[in-house]
Amino acid sequence: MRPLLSCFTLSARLVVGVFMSLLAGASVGVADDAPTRGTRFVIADEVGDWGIPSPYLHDRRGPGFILTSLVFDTLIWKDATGAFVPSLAETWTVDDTGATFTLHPKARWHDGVPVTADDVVFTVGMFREFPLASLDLSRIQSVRALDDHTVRFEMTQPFAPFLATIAGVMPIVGRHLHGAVETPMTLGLPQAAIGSGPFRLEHYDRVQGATLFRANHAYHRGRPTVEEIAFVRMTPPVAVAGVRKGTVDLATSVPVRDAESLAAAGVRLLVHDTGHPVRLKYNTRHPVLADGRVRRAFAHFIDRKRVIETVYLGWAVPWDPRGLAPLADPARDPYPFDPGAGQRLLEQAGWSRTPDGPWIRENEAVRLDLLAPRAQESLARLIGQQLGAQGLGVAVRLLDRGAFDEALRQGAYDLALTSHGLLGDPDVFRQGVLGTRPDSDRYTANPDLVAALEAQVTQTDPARRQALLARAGELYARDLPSYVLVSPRRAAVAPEPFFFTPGGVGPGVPSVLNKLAFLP
Amino acid sequence: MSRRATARSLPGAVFGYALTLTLLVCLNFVALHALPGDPLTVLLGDATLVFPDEALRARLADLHGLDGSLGERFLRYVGRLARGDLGWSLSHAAPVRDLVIQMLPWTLALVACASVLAFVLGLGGGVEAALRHGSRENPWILATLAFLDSIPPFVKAILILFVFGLWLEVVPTAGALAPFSDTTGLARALELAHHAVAPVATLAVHETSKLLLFARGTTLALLSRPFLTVAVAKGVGPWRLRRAYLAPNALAAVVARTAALMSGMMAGAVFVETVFAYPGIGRLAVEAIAVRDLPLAQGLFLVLGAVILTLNLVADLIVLRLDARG
Amino acid sequence: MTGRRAYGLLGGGAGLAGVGLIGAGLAFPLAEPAMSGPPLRPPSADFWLGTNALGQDLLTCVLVAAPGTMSLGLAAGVATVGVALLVAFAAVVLPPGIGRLILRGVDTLMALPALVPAMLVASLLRPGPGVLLLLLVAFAWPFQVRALAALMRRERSRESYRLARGFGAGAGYLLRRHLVPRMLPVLVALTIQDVRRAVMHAAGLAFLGLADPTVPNWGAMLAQALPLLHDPSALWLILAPAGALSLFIFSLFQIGLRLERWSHHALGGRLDPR
Repeated sequence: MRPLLSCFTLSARLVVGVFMSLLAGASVGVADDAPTRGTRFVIADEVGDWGIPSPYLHDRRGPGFILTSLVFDTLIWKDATGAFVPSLAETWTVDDTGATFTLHPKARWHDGVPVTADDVVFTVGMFREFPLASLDLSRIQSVRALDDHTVRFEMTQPFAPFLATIAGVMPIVGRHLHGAVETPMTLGLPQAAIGSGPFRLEHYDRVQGATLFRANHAYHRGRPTVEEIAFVRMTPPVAVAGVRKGTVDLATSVPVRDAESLAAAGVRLLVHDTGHPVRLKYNTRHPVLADGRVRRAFAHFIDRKRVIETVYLGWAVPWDPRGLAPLADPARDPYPFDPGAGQRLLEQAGWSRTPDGPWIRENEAVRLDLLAPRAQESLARLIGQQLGAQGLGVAVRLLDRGAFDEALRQGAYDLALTSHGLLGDPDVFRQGVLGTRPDSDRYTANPDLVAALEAQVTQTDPARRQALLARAGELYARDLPSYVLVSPRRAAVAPEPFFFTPGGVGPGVPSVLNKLAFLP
Repeated sequence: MSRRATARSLPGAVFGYALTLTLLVCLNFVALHALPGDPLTVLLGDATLVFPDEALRARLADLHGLDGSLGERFLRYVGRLARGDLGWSLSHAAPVRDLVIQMLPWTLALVACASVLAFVLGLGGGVEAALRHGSRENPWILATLAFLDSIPPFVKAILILFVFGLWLEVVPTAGALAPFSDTTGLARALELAHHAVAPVATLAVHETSKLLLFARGTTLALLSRPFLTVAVAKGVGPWRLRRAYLAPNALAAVVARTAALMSGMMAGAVFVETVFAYPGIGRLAVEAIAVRDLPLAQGLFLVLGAVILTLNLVADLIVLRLDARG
Repeated sequence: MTGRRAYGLLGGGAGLAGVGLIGAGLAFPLAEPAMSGPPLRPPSADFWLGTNALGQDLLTCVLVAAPGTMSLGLAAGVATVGVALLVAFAAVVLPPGIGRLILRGVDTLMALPALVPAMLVASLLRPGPGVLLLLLVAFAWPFQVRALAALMRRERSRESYRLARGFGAGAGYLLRRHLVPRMLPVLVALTIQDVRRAVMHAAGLAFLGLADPTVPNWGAMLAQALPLLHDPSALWLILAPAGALSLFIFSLFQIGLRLERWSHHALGGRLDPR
């Protein structure tokens, strides 16, 4: 009976909550002084609520990280050219065994306490004990404070992605704040959102999907150029109307058709590649698809030009099947749309076909399942039809997110349409091929490919690392565990001095919101 | 007679209600946990940069209470529920109870307002349509209803958004309040009401057509009964006919469909929340299932189920009374 | 009078056309229309209802989808109301204790989110038209039971029903001769709603892997317009399937009207109580 009783008390509380929250507003106030108007920079976003901007509380997807980066500084940060510039750290040196950072002497937490090397040491320890899925600290051997403002990282072995995936990504938290509780994820507001970044969290409203930031006047890199940032949930047509009226300063994304008319109206648009290509993933453990010739043949059957024209209405770029970048030169496309080439490859693999009949392999008509998440419906139908037109029996199945990820994890698919970001450090390539994410290829059949991918991690010489990555790309495109198709482009409305950060913000978030644009 | 019937059935109804709620808790848990997929897989899939090994995975499972067998987890769940704790939402990094308390009121208020509107319009319209049975306007009414009924709720929402929100600019287009509004008292109430006009209208329009058709049907069934023919022959006026005979009888049937109405409204609420950027649990619930945030989904469905069961209990009692009356 | 006849003819004609389409479609299933046209073209001489994002002719899509959509909707609608009618009848005529138990069970089913069991089924069974139909009926019938039971309780209090029972009429006879004819207008309204609901729900279930998205369906066509909702092309993307669905529902109304009129007359009701 006790669970029932508490259900009743719960519902009673809920009823009270109806009136309380409707009349008083169910938002979390952080500071009690009323916001001033007029100096507010309004950002429109379709989702709005990306969680409390705090390392453990923000939404795991990109925008959650971006909002957190306004409040929490990392050691270093990427500028408009994609190069690292000082953030909490004033200077740094990297060598084969690790890296040394000297913190900015004037860096302060929002509560006035100075930021010290000890906070960095604490941060690393905290993320090791209470890991974040997006931060891999396993290659750090030790961290120690050399003095109040100098911190030394020792690595277990040379680690090329260190700056891009740790120093430029890990938000530094204060020992006196996050260390004051037993489990840092349960730390509540306001302590959880006290960082050392250029903005303080003023108001987080989960209900309305709105977050208000206030400039941190004491910021060690100078006073921010806007007094307030209001990050507000708006549907795309409302955001576009707001841009036209001047009530919205920045829209993180606008619909394709509106982008064209906004550009004509003189609005500053930042059109950028999302670096999030969609790939046709083959189940290389499936007997039919274990043969590389079959995988390459399928790639020749897909007309990427048509895909871009229709599914993306022209707003996408073909990706280089070698891995990490859009296809720069169409003449170097290893898999141009060429049904004849595909047909020859299948025949080499021992398949046969009567004209207009289905492909026969070992006396059986080939039938394959193409799995796709709901968001890729159009693309899945088009790919299904393009493969079907070449005599392949492809049944399209759409799944919800959870079931789709699980099917991938268990290998319960033949073909699948997946997508993950390829911006950021090129190590993301290794993770996509060898990693254990649900959408990773987990393709270890080619020892050369594995070796090249593993070697680039410890290769700290940029030119040699690039060569290793290029070699891995060639091997990958030949083996083709998955065929990277196209990457959608996105248009954002953003005034001067906003820019699209090459390689993405932080760990590779394709966003025009880089906090440097708010700094003098 | 009527009071006795109600009194006798009340304890039984409440006992049945409690039993059903318990059953619901168990079914919810089992069904959600039987789904393929788990929150960690989705979480890792979302992470921008990750190379998780099994140790990391185990540590995350441990931290978020996702370890142990299904039986252990169920016992833990029931134990927590007994203390009024609905668990921790992994995807929102917040206690489920906070999320439910913050979001549910908006949906309940939205659905309640839309239901009242739909009830009044559907019932009135249904009785009138039945009285015009066989008349000249009848096919037009039906054709309009068929068309309204065939337009999905998201289209109705977007039409209202474009026409009244963006073109005529008579209703606000996003949210339940202006961003960071600090109004209080009457001004706040007015602001809330203004923002709720478009979402409520969308939901009401969507459900009215269904109720109207149903009320029309029940009224028609009633019109064939001799006592009405007698009443009309005895000279009962048209107003009294509607008020004293037709509306109460149609009401009984319509009230019995409350739960069905609620489920339709909840489905519609997902789109209304999306199009008008309105707060509520519709989208929260759909996303919770998609990313397998089981504690959140469980909490939302438990509370929603309790609301539906309570409404059914109330509807039962009302129907019993109306029935006993005639 | 002529207006009414014209509508009656229209409805009857549409009904006949529908039956013909269903028959023809089931006998000769058509493939998905080619994705070769220009994407998102408004209605024109070449494409009477426009094209969708994949360059498919919407008119062809609507026609190809017609037999499957209509037969699935009809089957699901009729079966839903049939099951609900039987359960409601059982709840009304069986002893009160059992009746209450049945209604409690129905309550539980309604309070469960239909999406979750649907996803469960999707993960366990190989999807197909039969599974889809089963699911559509399984999730819809509980919602109609309460209303039908309430109506039956009212009908039960009638003299004729009591007399018939007094003379020892069986349950089947009572249901067939006394309850169903009296409740026909309600049953028609409910069936039509369930047909519409089934068409729309089938689209939703497609996203759980329960239906093949390459088999065209009006509900799925409506759902496919969702990502383009803010685009002007949404207008014709939605109008084509919504128009087809309206016409179908309206034809059902016309058939329902005839049934209603017939039962109304047969039971001696007055058409115009004013």
